[in-house]
This record gives sequence, C-alpha cells and structure tokens, in this order.
Amino acid sequence: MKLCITSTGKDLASGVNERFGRADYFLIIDTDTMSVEVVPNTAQAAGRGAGIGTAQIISDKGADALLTGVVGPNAFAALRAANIKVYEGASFTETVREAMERFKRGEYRAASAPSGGPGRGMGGMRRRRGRW
Amino acid sequence: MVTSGRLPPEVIKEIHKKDFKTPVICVTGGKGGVGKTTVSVNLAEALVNMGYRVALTDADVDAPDAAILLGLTLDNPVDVFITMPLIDESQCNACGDCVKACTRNALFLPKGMTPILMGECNGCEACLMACPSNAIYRIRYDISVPKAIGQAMPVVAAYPDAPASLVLRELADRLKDFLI
Repeated sequence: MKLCITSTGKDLASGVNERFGRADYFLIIDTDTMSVEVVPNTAQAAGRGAGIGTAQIISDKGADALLTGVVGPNAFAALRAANIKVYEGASFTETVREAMERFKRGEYRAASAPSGGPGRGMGGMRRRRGRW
Repeated sequence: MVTSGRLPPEVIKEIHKKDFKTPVICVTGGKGGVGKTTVSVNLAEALVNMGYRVALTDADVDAPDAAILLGLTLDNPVDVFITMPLIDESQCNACGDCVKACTRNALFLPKGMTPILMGECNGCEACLMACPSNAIYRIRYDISVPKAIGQAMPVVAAYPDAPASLVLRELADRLKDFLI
C-alpha cells in the first residue's frame, strides 16, 4: 500500500507537517517495500484551493492512504473522490518514521468527515447561495 | 436615513470635475471573508450616528453585499451570469489539461475519470480553452445579488453594546480628526 505522509522535509527523519494543503513535502511510502518517494508540494503557494491541488498531486502519485494532522473540507471531498483513505491526528512532535510506525500498529483511525473547520479550505469568500 | 441607488452619469462626471475635498475612507483587502463589508457598513452607520453625511459606495465586483447588511432593496438590480464548465463524460479522455489550466484549483481529476468541479470556480474559462477534445461546455450561472432582501441592520445599530460595536464606534471616533 502506498501511504502518503505530510512532511516538513525530504526524508523519514523529518518532522510531520500537520497541514495537508500547505504541507512542504509529501513522503509517499510503499509500506511493503519501504521505498520512499519524495514529492514537493507544488500547490503549497496556491492562492486558492491548495487542498484540492495537493489532493490532485498525491492522487496522481498513486497514494492509497493519507496520514496528516488535519484535512480541510475541500481536500477531504477531493480525497474521497479519489478513493484515498484519510488518517488524521499525526503530530508535528513526531518524525515521519514514527508516524508511519504508529500507522502500521493501527493507532490512527480512518476519518469519515473532515475535522478541519472553517478557515481550512473554505476560503471564507463567496459562500453565498451555494456558489463555489 | 439610508437609500440605495445609482448616480446618473452626468452627476458622476460633475463630481470628477470638482476638486474633491470630502474625505474618502476606503476599506479594502485581497482576502475574502475578513469583514470588509461588515466594517464598511458599520463604520458608515457609526459616522451617521455622529452626525456626518456619509455616502457608502459598495465597489465589490464579486459580492457587493452592503445592501444585504443594510436590509435595503436594490433600485435597479441587474442579472449577472458567469460561465461554469460542464464536462461531457463521453467526450472527456481524462487527460487532466483542464485541471492544470485551472489556477484556482477548482477542478479535481480522480484517476481515469472525468474531472469534478469542486473548488471555487470564478468562470475564467481557461479549462474550456485547454481541453483538447472540446469536452467542456459553458453553463450560465446566476451570481446576481438577491433582489428581495430581508430585514437586516448594522451591528452598531442593532447591538450597540456588542464588543464589535464598541470597536467600530472607537474607529469612527478616531477617524473624526480626519473628517471635516
């Protein structure tokens, strides 16, 4: 399985980045072979829709699951459309390796709804009457 | 007394000819949802309460909502439409060019499927131009300001003791020095 963990750096010793849309790097780890692919977050600086852009990146890289701190509503909808399982609750106090080991022990639960409230992803702008 | 309406072009022309001495307070900012309209409306209300004559001009091209906050009905509302993309699944080859063209990340492409419009589309039509198989059609999306508006009131008038009202009145008070 390909597990994507949001990271502050390029290797497993880097700290977890709790943010998804604005994460620095994604480490895509093949949990069977332990091979790691480093993917810079090119959508990090996006003015809008960083969450959807990042979901596109990790979907294109073939991730099956995402482990991060918090996922906002837009990103969550995109990840759901891409059939990527979302695991939240990873902390910046742990390294990507530690987070991955906890994941393997089953210490994270798959999220069924986005836990990131307004301010994450919703832009705050132009929400009126169902406009995107 | 607040009224809503449009200035006739000849009046606007006349205003621009004059040496403008009336202070103009501009409330602006790039980020949406931070309270530009809320501050503008309440600041205007607070200044009116202090005895000033105030012209509140809502120049927000995307969401001019001052009338909503003031509970006003617009005199000459005009319907406004923007384009939204409608992607024909049978013509789409899931190449992802439209997703790359979208600078607002409003489109998402689940692997091998038709892109989904899920973000904040602003109707720029870049996706239509980028699509190599002409699979994207225009749909008209109504973004007009609602014509019938319910009762609303600036917070400084409705809740004079609310913390926000105190802040806005203080702001109006400090601006006094700059006003005639």
